[in-house]
Amino acid sequence: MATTTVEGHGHDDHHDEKSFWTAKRGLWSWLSTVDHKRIGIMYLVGTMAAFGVAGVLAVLFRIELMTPEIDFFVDGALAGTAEGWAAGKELYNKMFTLHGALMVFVFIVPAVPAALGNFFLPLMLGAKDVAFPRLNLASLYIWITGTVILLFAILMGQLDTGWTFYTPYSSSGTGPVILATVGIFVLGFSSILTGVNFVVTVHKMRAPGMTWNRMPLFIWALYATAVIQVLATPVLAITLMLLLVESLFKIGIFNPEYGGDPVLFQHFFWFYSHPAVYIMILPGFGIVSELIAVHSKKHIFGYKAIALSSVSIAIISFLVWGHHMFVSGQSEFASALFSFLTFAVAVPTAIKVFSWVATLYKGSISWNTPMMYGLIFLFTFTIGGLTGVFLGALSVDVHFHDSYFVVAHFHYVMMGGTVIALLGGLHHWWPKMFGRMYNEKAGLVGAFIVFVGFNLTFFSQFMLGSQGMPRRYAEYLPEFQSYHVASSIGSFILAVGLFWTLFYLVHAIFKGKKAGPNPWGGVSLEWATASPPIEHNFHDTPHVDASPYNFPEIDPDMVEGHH
Amino acid sequence: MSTTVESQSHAHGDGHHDHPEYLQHHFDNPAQQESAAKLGMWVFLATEILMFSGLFLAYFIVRSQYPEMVLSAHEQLDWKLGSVNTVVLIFSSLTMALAVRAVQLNNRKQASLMLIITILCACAFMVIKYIEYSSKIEHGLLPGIAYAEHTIVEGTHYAQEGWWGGPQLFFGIYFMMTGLHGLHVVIGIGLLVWLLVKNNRGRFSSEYFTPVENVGLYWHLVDLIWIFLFPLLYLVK
Amino acid sequence: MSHEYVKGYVKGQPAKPAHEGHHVMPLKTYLAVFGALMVLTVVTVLVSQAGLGSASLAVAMLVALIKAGFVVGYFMHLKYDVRFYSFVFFSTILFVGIFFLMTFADINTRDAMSAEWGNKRMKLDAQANVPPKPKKIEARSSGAGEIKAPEPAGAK
Repeated sequence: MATTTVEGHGHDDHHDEKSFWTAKRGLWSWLSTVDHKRIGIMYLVGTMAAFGVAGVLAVLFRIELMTPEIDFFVDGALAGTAEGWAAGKELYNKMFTLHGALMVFVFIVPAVPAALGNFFLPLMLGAKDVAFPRLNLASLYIWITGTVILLFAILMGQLDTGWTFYTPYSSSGTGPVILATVGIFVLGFSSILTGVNFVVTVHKMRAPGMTWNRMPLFIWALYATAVIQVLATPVLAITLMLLLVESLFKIGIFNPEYGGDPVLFQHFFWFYSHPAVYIMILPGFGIVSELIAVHSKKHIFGYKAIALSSVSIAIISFLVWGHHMFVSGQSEFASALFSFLTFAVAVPTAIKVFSWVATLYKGSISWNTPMMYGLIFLFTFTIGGLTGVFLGALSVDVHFHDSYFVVAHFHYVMMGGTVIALLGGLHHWWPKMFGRMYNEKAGLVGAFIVFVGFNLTFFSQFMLGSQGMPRRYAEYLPEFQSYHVASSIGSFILAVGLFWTLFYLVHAIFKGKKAGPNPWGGVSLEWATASPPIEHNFHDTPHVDASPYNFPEIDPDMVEGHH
Repeated sequence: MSTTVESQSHAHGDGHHDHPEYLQHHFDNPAQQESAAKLGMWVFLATEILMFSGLFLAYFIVRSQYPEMVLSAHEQLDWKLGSVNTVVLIFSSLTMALAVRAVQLNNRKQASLMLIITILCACAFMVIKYIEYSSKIEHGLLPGIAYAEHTIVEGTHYAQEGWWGGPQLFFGIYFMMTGLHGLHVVIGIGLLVWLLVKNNRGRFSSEYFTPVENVGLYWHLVDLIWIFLFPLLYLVK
Repeated sequence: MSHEYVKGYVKGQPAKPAHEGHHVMPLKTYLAVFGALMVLTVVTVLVSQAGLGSASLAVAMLVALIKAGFVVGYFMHLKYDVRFYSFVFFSTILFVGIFFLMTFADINTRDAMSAEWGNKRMKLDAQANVPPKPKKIEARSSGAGEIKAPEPAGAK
């Protein structure tokens, strides 16, 4: 193995040691665990459940949107009446709010860092655990609490503000908005704790010899993410607290009715939520760096450039939030400034994309599912990123604002970026987490269905948006119907692809072929321990003396008989 | 949970047989544990500073939008009580720093004494805060719709024009800032009592005093925020 | 961005990081810092009553910053501690600065490009609004000496 020299015995001598799955048994051993791997698995189950629920909601309102009128959401008895129309509209508003709030706050923010990150950060650093294991468990429980409060708020009543909670609509609301605010406030704390934990873990828990320049790029991405979580999330907390006080006491900070400034709320909100977009995508970048390098067996091109571009994206992300507010009544000067700064984000992002493409050049590419998701990512994320540059341009955004173009753009980034990367990461690390291989053919079929479904769903929405279809509307003009139908059909295909993926991945846990410790020939530290890893990750503290991308010469023998 | 951690550290020795009792299983040595805890504390303080920064920004914006209102409304605050509280809090910061110093010098008795003084100062701060709050409540100087104007004059609706940018806005900010700060003081009291109990049991020494140091950092931050709150809320002309 | 701790690890032997030796400060320093903080507190109060007008805020903030410097530097040991903690602290302040600066970049330039409205719309609104009548408060607070009636906001 090029990277690591494990002192003393190789791990093959330790067949007796149990994996983290079986080292302790019983429900209580899971509920009270401080093992980062088990916490990661529990986060994975939770975030995937949220993804499933929010996804089903999306499919439901895509069914509604197949026709210009509200019909699917209307109770049969009330069909055609004004009452039925109003009820259907309300249901639609609730559904997209629930979809957005669940996807953003419950699923995508914690999905990669708290699930895959928790599992692999200490493994890839060669550490026994994160720096604060009990804090890690606390963050899981806080996350569950926040999710329950948020769900309760939405199910309890009329929460139809969208996930952004803009004032004055939100601050004049009652019960559900206040409760949902509390829920997201709590979820924010979970995110902060994960961030603090990861920053300290990366600084203090690296194995001997693991210098900054020998850290896998996934770790760099998680580090940049954690920095954003630490710096931005507290502002969300205080914003929601102000919103809460505003709704309860009408003090007049945000609500113009009482002398406040609603645009100020948007400043506060986006100071968190724009960097939060990078909390969502940066870990995805990290996964893709791993996928592309490992599955083309080639040293990643521009290691330092990719690593530092993650950090610079984290910093620049704090300077561009005003591009969400071009039509809000923000001053022209501020809009121009924010628009200009927004273009700066494209530079480090493009550096990454070019480096990934250059890594593929003359690599020994395996056409397996993780690599396929890596390639899909390059395709869809580039579309998402470039349309982001369109929207960052002040003059263009004024027209596209609050249209389906924006919806398509951020789904190309969040779904086509983060979720695709997450799927790739799951396939890449599934053998490590569960010790079993998934069926490769099933994986490729799944990736194909997801790719087709995703693009049909959201490319149609680019067309809709560019023709003027506004977002968040339950009804629309008949001329938009063909694209809406295409988009809905795409969403059904996407759903089929995702359920298919869920099916064969879960099947693999029970029936899959046993995976060795290193099925892909990776050289970062997580591949140096057993699959699934033992409870303390490594028998002996690993020592690192080279880059995590120093693959042996491309040679089938080396790859096959790695040990 | 702590028992599992200890049993693990015994079961899974990794070559360092001189594990002190306080060393958690996933750290290699005390220095690593200490520096991790301290870095963690500083990163946590960063989140605290950013959280308060939102309130400070709200304050500055309200002040820039309604300067006269803020100037006249702040006259309602008692700067004398505010000054006393400033002195109390800075003094408690001193005793906290001295408590850390005493632990560093293995002087357990002095450390306990300093912690007790710190706790008493914190309580005194809260008592004075209570006096201030109750006088505000008595006079209806409260945030938003709780403000006297609404409760006294029947039929005055908060959405009416005269409501705009009135003192209820200032008191909204005042109660949020001092309230959140007060909450931090109360949490601080809890942490200090915890330290005192542990110190009396002899858990800290010049070898291991990270919790004392970290609670100290937290306590100084509470002081730090008050140093800005005091002139902004009580004094500014 | 290399870090002390890793350097202390080089030959596989974890060593104590060089800068984490526990620095014990003399009692005198603590007392001197406390004295300085007290003096500065008095200065803040006196300055606020000196009637400096609009400069009052700047002076108050300057004094508060100096006080904060003492607390952070000595009570929180930042001056003597690992340098990276200073980096964390000052980066935090930097991001607070970004938050303030960019928000005010909007608030202070609203309508700046519209000659008709000028830059003063919000401020004019503020002055046009009559604050709650002072006499109602007087009626409530006549018993308590220390609570003064608020002056009308426009009266200055």
